[in-house]
Amino acid sequence: MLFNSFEFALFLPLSFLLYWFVFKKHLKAQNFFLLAISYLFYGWWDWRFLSLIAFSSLVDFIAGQQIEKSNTKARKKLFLWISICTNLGFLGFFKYFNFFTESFADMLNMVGMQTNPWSLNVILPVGISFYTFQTMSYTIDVYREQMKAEKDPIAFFAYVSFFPQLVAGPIERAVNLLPQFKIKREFSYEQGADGMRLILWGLFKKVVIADNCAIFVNEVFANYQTASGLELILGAVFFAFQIYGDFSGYSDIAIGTAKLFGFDLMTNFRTPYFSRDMAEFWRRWHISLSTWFRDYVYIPLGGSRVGKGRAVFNTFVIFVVSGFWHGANWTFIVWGALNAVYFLPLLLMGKNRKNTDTVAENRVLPNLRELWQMGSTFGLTCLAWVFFRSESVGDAWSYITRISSMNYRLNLNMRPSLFVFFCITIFVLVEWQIRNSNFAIRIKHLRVKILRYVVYFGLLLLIGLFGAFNETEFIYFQF
Amino acid sequence: MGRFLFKLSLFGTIFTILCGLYIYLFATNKSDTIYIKIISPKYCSFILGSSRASQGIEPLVLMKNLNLKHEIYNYAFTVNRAVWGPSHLKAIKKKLKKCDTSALFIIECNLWSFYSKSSKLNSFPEENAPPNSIVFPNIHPNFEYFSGGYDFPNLHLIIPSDGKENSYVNELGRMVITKKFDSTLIDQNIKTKMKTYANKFNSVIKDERRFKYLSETIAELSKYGEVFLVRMPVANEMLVLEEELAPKFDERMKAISNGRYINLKYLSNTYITTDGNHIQNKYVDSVTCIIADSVNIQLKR
Repeated sequence: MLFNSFEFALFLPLSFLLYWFVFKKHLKAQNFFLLAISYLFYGWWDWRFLSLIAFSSLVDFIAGQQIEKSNTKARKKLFLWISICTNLGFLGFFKYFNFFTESFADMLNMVGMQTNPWSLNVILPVGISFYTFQTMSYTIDVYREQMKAEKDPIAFFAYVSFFPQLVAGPIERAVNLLPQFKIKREFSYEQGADGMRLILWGLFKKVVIADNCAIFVNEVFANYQTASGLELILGAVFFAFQIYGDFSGYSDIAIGTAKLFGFDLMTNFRTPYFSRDMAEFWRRWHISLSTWFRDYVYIPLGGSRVGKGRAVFNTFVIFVVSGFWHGANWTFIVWGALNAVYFLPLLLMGKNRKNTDTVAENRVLPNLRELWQMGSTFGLTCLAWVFFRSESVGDAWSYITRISSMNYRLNLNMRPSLFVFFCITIFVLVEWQIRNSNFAIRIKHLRVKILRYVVYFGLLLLIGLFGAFNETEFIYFQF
Repeated sequence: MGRFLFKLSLFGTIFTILCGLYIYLFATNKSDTIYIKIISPKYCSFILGSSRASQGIEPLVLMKNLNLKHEIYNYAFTVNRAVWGPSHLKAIKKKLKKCDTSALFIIECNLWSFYSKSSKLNSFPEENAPPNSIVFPNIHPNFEYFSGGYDFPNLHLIIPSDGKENSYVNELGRMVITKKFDSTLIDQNIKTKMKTYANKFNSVIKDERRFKYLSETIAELSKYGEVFLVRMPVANEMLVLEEELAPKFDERMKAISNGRYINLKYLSNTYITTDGNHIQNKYVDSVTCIIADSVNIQLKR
């Protein structure tokens, strides 16, 4: 079930009403209902994959308890590894099996040994990368004694499968989300209103910004060999807005929906395109994944508090793994590696934590220096996005080399409409306005109530007019 | 909770009423041609098929020449929507008023609606496009179309007509093209269209599922009246391409229709098209008359 679908438009209000009117009296009933609707939500794609998520939850539930009960370190480790191997095993099989066999066959072919890759017709279960990471964080935290093992299977299963963030994040930590399943939820007007605003803004980002940009982006990337330099630059810039609108839009809808059910999820994006360097960008982009890798891979590897050589290696590993997490394709690995190359000079010069505040704090406009920093960071990001979006590394390379062809005419039949530029401008202005806050359209300074409703009305109208409901999936579903 | 639900429903109601009123007042037969067809009432008889039929077969002429008991509605769409499959059959059924067994169905069969991209052989991509994606058609204002099925990103529906449109849908569903075409423009259109179709030609393969669903559509409609298949005249260049792609297409159509196949491809030299695909507006009545005559002959009236 997609957030931008007719089914979800029925599912959400029905679930909301049943949750608060029928199942509100007991915590167990609330959790059981959430589990049931989450499984319904997930099973809507393919009910067969429910067994996968149920099995993964069961293994981690048992592993968590066994880790806590175990007296010896070795036994604790054994159960931790059972959990990690099960989760990574599923992920490896469903997501990376064909990639590894094909890459292995390519390698053999390169050294003259002709072989055909043995590939399986494996369907990638929606959101597998998200929920496996979420559930793994639980067993690791229990192992590290940062939290107690969960005794209530319903609460635990509901935590793993919590529908708002199940298929595309934010990847929640058990420490943050699981305790919320242990307290009976009471409805709060403020929380509900914030939830609705987030859903509205998220939908705007998805169906107005991302889906409109996608039309031009698809045309440019499909015909990059005939597109002019200007069109290629525009294609990359539009893709930057498409992926941001798409993914942060999903996160906003997820966080908003969770709020309607009385939950607070972590913020996943903090206006990343206003970053002044790549280190700041990575503190603001897909925060739940970046911090996951930081806490469970980078720091255990030694982080940056090691020798320079080792720190460079750790950084490289973290970016490449993060790229590979996105998909079984060399393009994602190169994208990750390129970001590591951007990041490393900052790390080596000790400037990676230089910009930890918000740009132009307490000012209306940025100064020229900040403008240049933001522009160059955005440019570098767009360049990396070309690898992310292209079908192959070769395609991405041709795309980039063609940009410098100095041909700046408009060759393609498809042109971005003025309306898209208008929407992007509005979007950037709103994002600039809210760069200090977690909420996009709380618009507290719009004290006249009627004005606030005019803004909501306008957004709804744009969503209604430009909503390609049922047609476009969220990009991050494929991961 | 009460305050939250009250505010939400009040806002939702005002929004819905205002939007509904706007669509109801401003969605005219010149605004969005698909919307107009979707919201039309149910009919007993239909002209079905692709844009060749949507622009090229006039219901009023058929009614006059065939003395039809029921009004016949042109429920043909563009070729990517009017493809023979489960969702299009469902859409036709939703529009069908089951009167008696005296209905007439003219199905324009277009070669391109039997060919699919090889990557799409496991699915029916047209199911996501109106009219096939619309669960509740025949309602005006239609919020479902407004919120989901909209011809993305087409703003025509909400922009009031300025009277300068090049086309409109007449009261029985035919899309009337009012734009004037001179020979230079036609040549240019044909060249562009042929380029598009030549590319298409290289990327599609015959999709047997489409033939099966056409047969199912015919079987379903035959319960309510007579069904005829029609192949419309096109430009010579297009005909050559189509004959190359499917030389036995006519035989297949004849077999599927049990001989009730009106083949007008031989008129491809006679009637000039606007783009190689669609006959010009001035020829629509005479082509429709030929179809009506053929129906009369076959029914021995």
